[in-house]
Amino acid sequence: MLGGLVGEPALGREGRAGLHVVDERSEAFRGLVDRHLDGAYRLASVILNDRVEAEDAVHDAAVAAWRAFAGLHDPDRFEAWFRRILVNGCRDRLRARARRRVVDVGRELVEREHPVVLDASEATAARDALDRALAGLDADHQVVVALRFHADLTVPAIAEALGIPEGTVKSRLHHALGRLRAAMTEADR
Amino acid sequence: MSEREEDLRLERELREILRGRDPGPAPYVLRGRVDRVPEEGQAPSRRSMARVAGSLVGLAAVLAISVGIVSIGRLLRPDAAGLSGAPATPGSLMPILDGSTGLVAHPPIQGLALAFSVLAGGLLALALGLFVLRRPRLGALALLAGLVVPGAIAALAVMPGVTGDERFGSHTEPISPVEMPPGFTGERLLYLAAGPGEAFETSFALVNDAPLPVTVHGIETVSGGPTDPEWIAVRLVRDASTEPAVITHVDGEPFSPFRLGAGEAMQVRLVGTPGACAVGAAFDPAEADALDYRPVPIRVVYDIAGWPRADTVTLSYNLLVPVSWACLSSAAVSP
Repeated sequence: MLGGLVGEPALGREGRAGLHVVDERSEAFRGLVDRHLDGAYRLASVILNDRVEAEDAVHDAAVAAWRAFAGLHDPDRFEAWFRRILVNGCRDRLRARARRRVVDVGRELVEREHPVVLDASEATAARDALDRALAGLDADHQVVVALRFHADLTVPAIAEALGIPEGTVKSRLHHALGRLRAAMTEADR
Repeated sequence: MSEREEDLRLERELREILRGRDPGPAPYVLRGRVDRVPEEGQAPSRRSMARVAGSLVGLAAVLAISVGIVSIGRLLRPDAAGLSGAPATPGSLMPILDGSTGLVAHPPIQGLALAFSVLAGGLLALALGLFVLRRPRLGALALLAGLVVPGAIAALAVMPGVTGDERFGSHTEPISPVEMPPGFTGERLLYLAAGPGEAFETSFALVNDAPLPVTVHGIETVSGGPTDPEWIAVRLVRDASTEPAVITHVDGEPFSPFRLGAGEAMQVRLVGTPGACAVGAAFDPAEADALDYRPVPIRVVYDIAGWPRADTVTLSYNLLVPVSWACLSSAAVSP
């Protein structure tokens, strides 16, 4: 698919002078990742609700994608392929976070005294309750909600991104929305 | 509000929440990190090396566990029960061999210990692999199993086992009447008066001193030289009584493996033959220098909770077979 190693001095992409080995495969990879980097970072941030962790997740996904890049035969499939790597990595991070159950005492105290208001003009208890309920879902459900309502993926696309059957996607969405609906209804009372 | 309106509202709120989490384009720092991935991403990361190592360790562990289990299964398969063979010379003490002789080979304790060691090693290696692969719960289970297995085996191997005493009385014949010196308080010595090919017997109680029930499989065959004494058969005396009585010859029943609860006892009668160089009834203690004495070892083969053991039974007396040096020398020279 892509050529082999060609040794030539060349300028780096930022214009820095240096001795970079021009590697067609590396350049092709960089080009593809660069094209989808913004979307990947935004998706990871939405899933993880943590920008710093999202940066790490995207970097890890890029490393995993680079190592498996030789197995990707169709560059047009890169977006979906890379998104799958990224989403699986984010899901693993959510699971690890749930296992750790680190209680940030400082943050808890601050939030109790100064609750975060998501939207000053529409500060609703329902939205806060919904946000907490969303964070309380397990990793698999948080991921499908983010893919459905932020990335606007269809059920087949979500199934492909997660490597699971469409029926499982529907089931997880149904379960997640049920819990979120209940949290919103409870907050409205 | 209708259900449809609720759903629309839920979707609207969710999108707002998720939009609030959206930070916008990727920062410059992240772009730089990703840009360097092709150069920095060549060597396997420590995490993936650890995963490969963990997988290899796990594979080796599974192999060791499989070998251990198969070996244990083969070694625990019951041996051929007893030995067959007609008595060399018929005698009044010789039992009718109408069942198992009750004589068994030495159990493969060392082989089993090795197999269990391999199994325990495999479990510990599996635990290591699981911890490396970030499966701490499964790793803890494997670690526990790897520690419990050898611990249990060690406990079964060293706890008190089967011993012998004379709670139901004891009878040995034929013996040579030998008076012990006055004041002699040492071990009682019984010199067997049976000659080559003739039978002798001794009876005593096998006692389970272990805290757990045991299964007695028989008496271990004596693997001495061709002129050494050896056992012929084991008989069971199931209706033995502790009432004081003069114990005489009791034929007993054919042997079959039996279970003894903690503290329980079974009277057994062992029949043997003294070997080709036995002096027999001609034994004269005055000619002690011309004689050697071959002990008749009594080792009972049994198992505690499945773990095999072979322990020497220590009684209040010692069975000795007087043999002639001249006979032993010629037996050594003869082909």
